[in-house]
Amino acid sequence: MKVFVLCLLFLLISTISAACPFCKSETATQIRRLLFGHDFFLNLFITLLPFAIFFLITIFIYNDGWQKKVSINNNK
Amino acid sequence: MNNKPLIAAGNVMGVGMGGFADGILFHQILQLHSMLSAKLPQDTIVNIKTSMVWDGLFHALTWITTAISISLLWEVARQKNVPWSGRIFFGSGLMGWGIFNLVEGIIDHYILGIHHVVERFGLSIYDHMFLASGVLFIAIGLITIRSEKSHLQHIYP
Repeated sequence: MKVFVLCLLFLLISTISAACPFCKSETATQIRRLLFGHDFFLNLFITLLPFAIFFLITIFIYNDGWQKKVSINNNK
Repeated sequence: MNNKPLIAAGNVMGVGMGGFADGILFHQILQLHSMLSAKLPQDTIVNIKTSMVWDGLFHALTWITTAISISLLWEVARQKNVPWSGRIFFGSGLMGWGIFNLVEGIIDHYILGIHHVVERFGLSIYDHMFLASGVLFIAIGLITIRSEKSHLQHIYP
């Protein structure tokens, strides 16, 4: 019982870690440092890259890429 | 009849839905990996919170993709020469989902190695299965589209 009350007391007095990226705390500063570090643009590029390819594939399908080339060759 | 606008709309929606399935199921519910989990081990609050931002960007791009597909579908609904076929849309969607799994799998899991399906195993059988699911979805999508196309050609010769 004594331990339980003690734990409850610790829970009550514990502070919020405030770890959101734009909070004002030491943890938040560390997150910002890691987020906007030297590899920020590399990570951004990595995240964007598959989506650029998805759209290129969709445009390719929409324009009937293969069939157009085949018909051009056939016309020649 | 012109099927291409409907195929494009379904395709983009499939990419979006595939992205959401990956993000919601693997990133959030099962927490098997996150966008940069191979670069940022998920064992400190700083790494987890930083990964969460990159996951958020991934979800934002997925949301934009889905929004684009809705606008493409809206355009399809206004065009009279595009058949309003549920089977073509479903097949295109499945193909889009397959393209998502295949492209994302090859780039992120194999070439860049920024994350893997089950991060604690690294590159594993689950990554191969993810890639295989992409090929399977594309194949089923293509078969569905082609069968419906030939069916529509009988109706609208």
